Amino acid sequence: MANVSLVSVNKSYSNGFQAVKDFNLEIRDGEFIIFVGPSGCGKSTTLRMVAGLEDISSGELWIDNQLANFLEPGERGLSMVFQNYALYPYMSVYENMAFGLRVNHLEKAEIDKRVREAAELLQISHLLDRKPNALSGGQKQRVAIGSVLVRKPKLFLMDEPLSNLDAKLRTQMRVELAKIHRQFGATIIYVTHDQVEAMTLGDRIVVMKEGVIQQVASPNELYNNPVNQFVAGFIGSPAMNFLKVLVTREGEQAILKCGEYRLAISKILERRLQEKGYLGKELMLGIRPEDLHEDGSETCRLQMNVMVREGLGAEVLLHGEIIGEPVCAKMPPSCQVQNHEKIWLYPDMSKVKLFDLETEENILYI
Amino acid sequence: MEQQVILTRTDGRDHAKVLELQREAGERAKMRRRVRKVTLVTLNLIVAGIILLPLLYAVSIAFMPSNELFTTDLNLLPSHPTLENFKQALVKVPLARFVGNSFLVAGCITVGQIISCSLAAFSFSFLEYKGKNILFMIVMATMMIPGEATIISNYLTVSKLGWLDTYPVLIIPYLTSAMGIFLFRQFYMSFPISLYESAKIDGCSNLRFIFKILIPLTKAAIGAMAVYTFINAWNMYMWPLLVTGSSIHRTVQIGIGMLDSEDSQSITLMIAGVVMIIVPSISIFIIGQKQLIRGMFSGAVKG
Amino acid sequence: MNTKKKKGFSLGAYCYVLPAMLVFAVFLFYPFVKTIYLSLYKTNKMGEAKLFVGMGNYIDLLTSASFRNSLIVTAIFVVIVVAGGMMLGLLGAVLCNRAFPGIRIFSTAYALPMAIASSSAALIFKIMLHPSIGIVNKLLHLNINWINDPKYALVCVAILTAWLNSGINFLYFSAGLSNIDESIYERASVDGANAVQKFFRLTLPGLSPIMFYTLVVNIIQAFQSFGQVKILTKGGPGESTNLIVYSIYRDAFFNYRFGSAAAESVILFLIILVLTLLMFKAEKKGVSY
Repeated sequence: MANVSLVSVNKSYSNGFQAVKDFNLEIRDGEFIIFVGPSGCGKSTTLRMVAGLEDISSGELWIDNQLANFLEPGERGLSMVFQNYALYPYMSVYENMAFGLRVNHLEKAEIDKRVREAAELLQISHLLDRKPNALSGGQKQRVAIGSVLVRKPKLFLMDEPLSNLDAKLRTQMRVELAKIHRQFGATIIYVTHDQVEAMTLGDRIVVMKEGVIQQVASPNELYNNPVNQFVAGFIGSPAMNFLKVLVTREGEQAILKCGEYRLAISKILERRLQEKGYLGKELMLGIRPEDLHEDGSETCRLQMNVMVREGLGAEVLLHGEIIGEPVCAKMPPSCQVQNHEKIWLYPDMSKVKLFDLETEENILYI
Repeated sequence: MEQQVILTRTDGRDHAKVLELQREAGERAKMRRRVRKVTLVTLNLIVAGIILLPLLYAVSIAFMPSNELFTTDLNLLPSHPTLENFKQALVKVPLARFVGNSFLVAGCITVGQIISCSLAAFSFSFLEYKGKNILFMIVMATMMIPGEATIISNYLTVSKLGWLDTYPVLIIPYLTSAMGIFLFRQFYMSFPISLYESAKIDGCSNLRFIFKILIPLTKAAIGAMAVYTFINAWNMYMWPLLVTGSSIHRTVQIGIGMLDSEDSQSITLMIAGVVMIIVPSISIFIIGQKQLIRGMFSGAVKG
Repeated sequence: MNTKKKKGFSLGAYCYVLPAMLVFAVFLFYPFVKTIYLSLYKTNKMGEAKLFVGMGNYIDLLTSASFRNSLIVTAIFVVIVVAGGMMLGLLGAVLCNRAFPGIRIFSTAYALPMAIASSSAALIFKIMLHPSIGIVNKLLHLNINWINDPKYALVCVAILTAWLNSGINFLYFSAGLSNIDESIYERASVDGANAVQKFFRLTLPGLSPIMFYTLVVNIIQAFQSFGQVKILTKGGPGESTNLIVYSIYRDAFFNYRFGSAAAESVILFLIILVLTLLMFKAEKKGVSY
């Protein structure tokens, strides 16, 4: 088990491209931490810097209070699962799992014991004599994880380990990874572009964009209190809807004017907007599909042109547009709206987010 | 705000010491990396030096006046470089004629092989006919027969026909190659059959299909094949040695032997000749190296 | 009508293989059969079969000390050439595997010997190995008559041939190396493997498919070496470099014993055939992927 800290870590290439900018993060012992973001956001690069596969251009990397910038990958006491599994093609599953122990000169009996234990745990004991080419994707995945487990590392690195699996297997392996984490209690750094994986697995999530950390927080925190429009849009599925609104007043009542529609807001919210000087200004309203409801107050509603109705059994997704912007709403299965109908939607104003148009920051971030 | 907490947590660490530590470790790592790089380059220089030694040595001698060569001192470079050896070599034997012959022969063989191999590979990959697989296996089996196993009979045949000492006898036996057919077929197999079928529907004849569609699509393979075949034909030795008696049709590799004598004065002359005949094959190799690698290994090895 | 059309179509199809098959038939199959035929006869100076002797030529050959020497010499030669040529090629490929400044120049240098003719190379080596003015003796401070000493002549010819063959071996191994997935090296370094372990546990096994192919090609090629012997040693001194192909050449074109030479050709073919088949059989058992 290890704590890891990255202090002002930068990665720049000789062509001037800066892949990671001023990355600061303190990872606690036994934490399951996720790096998430769209492709090219620098999450894999950061992971590879921790592993020692990429040089750190500047900044400090501490593993267990030891400066690790210049340690060889093998000296860092960590283990890594690669996206393509990186199994040694001409070694049997057993040899694949034993390799990391062999090169570190462990005793034969100990190697055998560990490999068999890990195989047992991952239910691949019957595959030990096979070559990787004779395995299915899910089995390869298990072998890759097994090779990491046998080394009993203090730190696990995983680079998109589930991205090559089909959806069903992915869910299954996700559950198993969570189980393994509980069982071994090791620190895990996990890279993914899939926000569902991030939300379900992580103790904390690091959301990255263009080499910069946007927010570090628990899944709940990210969902409820995103720091900016990017994080809000990235976390949650289907994604948050965004509508441009004008903060104004009609008589006593402060409202958000969205095209011809009006959304009444609470006194508290009004006061906060006033404090920050947004009265009379335009903002971006963010509202999640699950926070749009079928009924509510007439002072606070929007009309959607439904274009596509997706019945998913447990819920119904309505895709359409409001004032020309695409919007998605999540409805209970009882919803009878059909394609090309118009429907009034009542947003839950306690859950909406408001973003500055220029900085894209969450005005209500606490 | 959690972010803030993370940013400021450098608790208990003396920052100046950290920087010092980091600088030291960085220096060491940089040193280690530099040593590694220098070692790699040095090793490469040594190995490449050994590999190139015969060629560099030949070039050096070719420019050396013959009296300079005869010393027991280590004389790697000519102290009075001269072109005399090249001039003399060209005068003493009809080297220009040999070079011309070799270009003609190697050129014809290259073009011929590319055409015959393309045609055969086309039929093996796009056409359906009886005995196709057996024919293909026969072609592959020819790779097992070493040229030396047939060279005597071939010699007897062409000599009986009175073909000795002609250009055709140097060219015709080499107008096809199993390896070329295999290489092209490997490439053609990577194209969908629908490519052929849609061309057929558009009324494209087979020959037109080969020359307008297949050949432009397989430039990489053809490039590789051309470089490889040309160099091999240029370097051919045993067959031309047997079938060319006079110097009229001699190719360079045989012709250069005329400069090979025990007369020590002519060593520099001979090496100058060797350098002159190596230059074309090396130039073609260097120019075509990329093509050669791309063509030879993208289809053949992986498939 | 349908059948007729089909038949016409396929006749057209045969036209495309015709040029290649014609060349094969006239210059490969026919002479191959003729060689076997000749090997069963005593021939006259024109190479015409005159007297059927059955296996006579083969028996004569296999009982002659000269031919047996030729076989042994060839075997030693092939071993040195294949081992040397492959190691040289592999060395270059491994050295050029990782990017560094000047890599393109070095990789061209390593591949270059493949562009050089055996005859040209032999002429250059002749001077390099010259006892008094040759660079080899000068550099090593030796005074050895390399080519005229039966102890060294074969090794010299073999090293020259290994050098010639190393070029294409370099290309094969480079291609093989680039086919190895880079990420397994990364995983190995995370696992703590050092460079030597990576080479023996990852690189060599990863090269095994191409290694096998290269081995087959190299063995076949080594058996066929001729030009360098002809120019450098003419089979001598004594018969210390009398490789099979040179022996065939000498028997046929100096002694005009075409029947015997044909029998030697057939034996050469059989040796190569058996070796190749054995290797393929061994490969099926060994290298599985």
